[in-house]
This record gives sequence, C-alpha cells and structure tokens, in this order.
Amino acid sequence: MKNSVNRKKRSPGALMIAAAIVIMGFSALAADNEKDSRADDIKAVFVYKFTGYITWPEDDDKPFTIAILGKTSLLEPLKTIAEKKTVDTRPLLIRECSNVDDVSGANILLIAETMEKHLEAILKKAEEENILTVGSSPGLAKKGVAINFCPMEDRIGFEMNLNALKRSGLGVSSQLVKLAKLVEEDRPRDAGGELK
Amino acid sequence: MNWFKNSSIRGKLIAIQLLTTLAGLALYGAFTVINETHLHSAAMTRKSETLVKMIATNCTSPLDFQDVSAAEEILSSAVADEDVVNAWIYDAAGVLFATYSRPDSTEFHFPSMKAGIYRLEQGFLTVSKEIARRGETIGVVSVRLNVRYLRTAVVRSGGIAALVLVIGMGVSLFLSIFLQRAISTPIHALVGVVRKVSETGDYSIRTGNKRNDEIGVLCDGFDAMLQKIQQREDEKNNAAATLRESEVRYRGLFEDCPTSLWEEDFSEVKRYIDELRRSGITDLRAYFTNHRDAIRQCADLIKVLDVNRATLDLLQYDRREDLCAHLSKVFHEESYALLMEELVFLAAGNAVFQTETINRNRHGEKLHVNMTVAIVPGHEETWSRVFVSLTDISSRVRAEEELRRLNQDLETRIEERTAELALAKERAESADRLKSAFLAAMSHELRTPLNSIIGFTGIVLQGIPGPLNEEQTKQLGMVQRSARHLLDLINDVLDLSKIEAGQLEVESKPFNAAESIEKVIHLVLPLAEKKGLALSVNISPDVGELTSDRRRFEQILINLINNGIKFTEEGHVRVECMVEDKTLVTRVVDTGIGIKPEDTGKLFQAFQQVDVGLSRNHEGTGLGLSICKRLVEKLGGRIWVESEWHVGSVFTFTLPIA
Repeated sequence: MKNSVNRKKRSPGALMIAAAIVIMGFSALAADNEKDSRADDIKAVFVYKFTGYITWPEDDDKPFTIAILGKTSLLEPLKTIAEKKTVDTRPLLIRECSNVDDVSGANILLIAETMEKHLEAILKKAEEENILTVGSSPGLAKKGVAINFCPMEDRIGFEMNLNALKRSGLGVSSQLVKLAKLVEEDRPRDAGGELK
Repeated sequence: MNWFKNSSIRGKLIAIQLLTTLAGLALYGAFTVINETHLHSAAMTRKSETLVKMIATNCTSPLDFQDVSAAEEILSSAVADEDVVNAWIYDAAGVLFATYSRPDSTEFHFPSMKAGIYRLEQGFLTVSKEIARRGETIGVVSVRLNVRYLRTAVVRSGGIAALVLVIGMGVSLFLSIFLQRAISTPIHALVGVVRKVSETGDYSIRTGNKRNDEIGVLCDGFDAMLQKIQQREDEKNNAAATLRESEVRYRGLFEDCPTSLWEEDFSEVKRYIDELRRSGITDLRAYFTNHRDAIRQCADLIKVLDVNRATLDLLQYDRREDLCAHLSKVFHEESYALLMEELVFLAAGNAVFQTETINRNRHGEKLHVNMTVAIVPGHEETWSRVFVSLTDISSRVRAEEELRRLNQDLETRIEERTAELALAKERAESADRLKSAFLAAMSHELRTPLNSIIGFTGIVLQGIPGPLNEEQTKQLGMVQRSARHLLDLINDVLDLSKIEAGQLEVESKPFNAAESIEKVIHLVLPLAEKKGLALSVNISPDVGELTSDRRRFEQILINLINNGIKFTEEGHVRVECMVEDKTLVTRVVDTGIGIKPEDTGKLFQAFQQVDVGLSRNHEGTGLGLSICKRLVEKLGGRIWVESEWHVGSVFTFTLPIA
C-alpha cells in the first residue's frame, strides 16, 4: 500500500485543481448569492466524473465529446474543465448544439431545460448512437434520461435510469449505481408512446 | 568472576549446569515471545491492510461525488472487527471527509492528515492508505486498531516462557546436585590426599584409586608422582647423610691436616681481573707492576673462608678470626709480588700454582714455605673456591744449607788431600825409580863376584887344583848350586828392576820363530828327560818370520816351559805355535798340578808363588811369570793362563807378527 503510494506519483496540478473546485464548491455553499453558479460548477465536475464510471464503446481515435443541446449555465464550467482534462487519453471536447441532429458523434449529451420538448427525438438519437443522456430537471429520469441531477438533502445528488442506460448500450459501475437514486419509467416506453 | 575461580568444584559444576540451562531456556523463551509477537503483529498488519484496501476501493465514488453518508456506511460496515476502534477518510484537500468510531470506544480526536502510513502509539496501531482514482489521489483512509490483544498474546507467551524457565532451572538444579557428585566426590577425595600429604609431608600415602576415568588416571599419576618423590626424598636424605659424613670427614681432614690449609674465595678478584681485561688490559703482569695499588686491591678482595689449626700454628696466631679478617694483615711486601705472579699464572688458565717462597709469621719471623694455590675443580670459571696450602720447609731449607756447606768443606778437604797424595805419589815413584836404578846397578856388581865364585868352584870340582875327597866334592857342589841359584835370582831381579825402572830396551828385528822354538826345546829337553817327561812340539806350517825381539821371545818361552816342567810330575809338556789373525799364538800345555781358579789372578804378580808357605816344594824365584807378563806386554802382546786343578795348565801368549 505504501509502495503503491510512492510509485503512483500524484499529479500536484490535478490535486490542486480538484481542491480548488471543492473549495469553490464549499465556499459557494456558504455564500447564498453564489449558490447557482456554485451548483453549476459541481454539476459540471460531476458530468466529467461520470466518464470514469461508464463503460464507453471503444473509439479511441476521436476526442471525447460532450454535446450541450440548448442554452445552459453548465457550458462555461465545462469548458474550463475541458481545457485541462482528458478522458483516459482522449482530449475532451465541448460541443454546443441547437439541433438534435448536431448531436451525432458525441459521447455525453447534456440536455438543457429549453430542449426538453424534443426529448423523444433526443432519446431516440441517444439510443442509436450510444450516447449518455444527462439532464438537470426534476422527473427527467422517469421520462427516459439516463442520469438526472436532483437536490438531495444538503447536497446535489442524481437519479439514474438503468433501463435507459441499457437501451443506450452503456455499462455502469456499481460504485456509481450505489450513490444514485434509482428510477424507472412509469410505464415501459415504446415507440409512439406518450411522454407526458 | 573471582568467586567462580575460587569456588569449589561442586559449586562450579552446579553453576555451569544452571547457567547452561538458564541460557538455553532464556533463549527459548525469548524466541517464543519474539515469534509470538511477530506472528500476531503480522496477522494484525495483514488484517488492517486488507481493511484499508477494501475501504479505499469502495470509497472512490463517495469521494468523487461528495457522498459522506455513503462513505460512513462503508466505514461502519467495514469495521466489523472488534480490534478496529476508529476509521476515517480525508479528501484530496486533506479535509476530514467521513469518520466512524466504535460505539464502545473512548472519545477520539481525529488527527489532521499525516504522512505516515503505519504508526503505533499508546497501544493503538494506525494504518493509512491513499484512495486513488484514475491515477489521481482523491483521499486517504485510516483505521486505528487496538493492539491490546497483541500485548496480551505476548504477555501470555512470556509468562509461559518464564514458567518453563523456573521449572527447568529447578529440575536442572536437582539433577546437577545429584550428578555433580560423580565428578566432585573423587576429586574431593584426591584433594584430601593432596592436603594430607602436604600437611604431614608423608609421601607414603596413596590415593588407593580403583577408577579408570580421567580422575582415575590423575590419581594414578599422583600416586606415581608420590612414589617418585618418596624415592627422591630417600635418595636426598641418603645423599644429605653422605654429604654430612663427607663434610665431617673433610672438616676433620682439613682441621687435622699437618699442612697449613686455607680455603679462600677469589671470585671478586676474578671479577676484578675480568673487568681489567674487558677494559683492554692484556698484559696483566705489566699492569700490576705499574699499579701497585691494583695488586693491593686484589689482596683486599680475597676472602679467607677458613683456615685450619696447622695454619694458626704455622703463623703463630691464636684466633682464626685474625687471619680470616684481612689477608693484608699477614701480607708483607714480598707477598704482593708473589700474589701478582699467582694471579697472572691463574689468569692464564692454570688451575694450580706452586712455588717456594718466604712467608712471615705473626712476629715477622721468616718462614720458608712451599705454597700451592689450587682452584677447586668445578670452580674454574668463578674462582669461588680456592685451596691454598703452606708447607713449612724451613727445616729442610736449613738442612739443605747445612749440607751444602758440608759439601763445600768436603770438597776443599778432598782437594787438599789429593794434592798431598799426588805429592806423596810423586815421591814414591821417584824413590821407586831410584830403587830400580840402584838394583840394576847393584845386580851387575853382584854378578861379577858370583861368576867368579861359580867359575872357581867349577875349577876346584874338576880337580884341577888337586883331587878332592867325596865330602869336599859334595860340599863344593852345594856351593856351586847355591851360587847358580843366586845368579838366576840376581838375573831375574835385574830384569824385573830394569823393566820397573823403564830401562828395558826391546829390539824389533825379523827372525824365524820356528827356529827359535826348536833352539829353546833343545835347551830344556835335558831337564824334561831328567824328570821323565815327554816334551813335544807342534808348530803350524804357516809360522815363519816374526818381527820382534828374538832373545826376549826365547826367554819367555824358556820361562814358560821351565815352569811347566817344574810343576809337572808325570805326563808331558807340549809346545804349540800357530798364526791367527796376523798374530803369533804360542801355547805351553802341561799335565801338572794346575792352578786353582782363585789363584790365577795373582799368578803374574812379582814375588808371588802360588803355594806360598810351609810346603814350598818347587824352587824358583817367583819372578818368572811376572817377567814374562811384562815382556809380552812390552812386545805388544798378551799372556793368560787357563788351568784346572790337578789336571794341567795352558799358558798362552800372543805377539804381533809385524
């Protein structure tokens, strides 16, 4: 254990960044007026961290792409992370989309509240292209989104729809599963089914 | 360690046994405790490692997603083991993220983040592990274990070891007390014997050993040693007795010896001389001659150990101490010169120095002594024992001087006497010569009237003056015979005196010896016939010329033949003549009365007749043989007689032919 510690030299930069983020997060908690931007930062970090618990299709040549459909406050924090982070060896790319069709080739799709009305098409697209869908509105997981942020006691938690993950052909680590609040659709979603 | 050295063998054996056991058991105990500790601590370490590893694996996602309750749940489920008291997790920033404490544990203040992975303090072991995620350290998990169980285990094994130690020591003590007797008992017995021998000095004690082990060998060896010591002791006692006896005898001899004896120690002198030599002095005599004080120093260095009674008597001392104290007391000037000679002689490597010298007694009177200085054999190197003997030879020296004086007197007197005798002899000889001259002259004067007497008596007897009657003829015949005898006598005396006076002249002319002999035979033949004796002649053919005095030769021969006829009553007289080795040898052999051996010596002396005395049967002057001898010697020959009493005589004379 000791040896492994010595061998696996910690990258001081990474540690500092993580620390900075966490401190920023806690200081945001303390300060009420900065609450929203602090929550966005945490969510952005969480999005990035999801990449480590999901089994992705092997496609190492291309950059790891996070697509953002619609306008969201998570864009800036994610861009900041993308400048410094990679997913395994793949560079991290943030792509802004306004159309569902622009999403093609992405690994994670972050759905803004404004784009929830296109959910049907989005989910279809995600299932076809093995894309992890992430939402940030109450009840989205029940509607078929794989992971959805939701407030949990004094912290930010998330819901997870294991069926949705399965439909998209993605594996998930039990480590992530045991932290999530698991949800299922009210009724099995089928083609032409009503979402609301 | 001194107590151990001096303790008894019993104590040593027990101590060795106990110490060995103690060492073994203590090692065993220590090993057990250490092993037990190691096993327990290894088990605990393994357990804690497994625990932190499990927690670290399970806590990555709660850390990633800030889920404290999930983390605390993991901690509480992991900490099922009762040894684990506390567990806690730091996040990447080192802030305490989640904690757990056993409900029954005491209050614990969770420490701030530490670098150490293992830490044991106050009976608690803290083990930490980093929580890594994708190569990034996202936190640290620590668990704190109570090690009292470990301590209990160690204490328990220590207790067992101590118990084993105590029991083992007890058993060992018990065994060693019994077993050590096998060794210590016989040794104590031997020690007892040794002590007894050394206390009593009785070497006849024996150990009486019956064992065969090393101690038995030791006892046997000790017995053998005692045996040897006893023998040696006996020998020593005998030797000491012999030595005492010898010493007494020696003392007696020394003391009662009539010769003055000194026992002295020269060792310091020897050292002194050796030192002189070392300092480069080779000629000791020269050194001592130049340094009179050195020789005095030597005298002072001599130690007189003892002197005998004869010495005191000789030097007229009453007390030995006076003599023994300082030799210089009895020394005087001559003695130092003598000492120098003595030391030089001894230093040259001689062991005995002998001389005759003059010594002085206590009163300074001179004593002649024969002094012998002898280094006692075995002390040649050190001169530590030297015998000096002084023999008083004063009386001998006096006697010798007396003798020498007497001899001188005697010689003087002998010389005087010899001179006197020579004078007397001279006188006697001159008187003799005078007498001979007188006789020669007188004989001649005597013969003249005697010839007249014989001549005229013959004329009267022949009846020329007138006829004579028978009585007258008889009377005149006696006159004539007496006169002729007197003439013979006078002739002989004349001859002898001439010879004695040195007036006899002999001539040296060649003549025929054989003819001379024949002539003589003719002359004496009538005389032999008258006595009825056969007279024979045997002349060797080689007898011829002889250069000598013919008349004297014939005279000698006539004398010898007359002599033979005169002393032979019957038988014969024979004349033999031959040449032997350029010498004419003539013999006259008769069968007469002979001569006794003791008389042959004086036969040729003047006026000597063998049968001198009352029964003088044979007339003659007694001068014949004496004259013969003198004549033969004058002619350069020899004459001698060989005779046997009542058988006959052989007279032989030799003459050189040329």
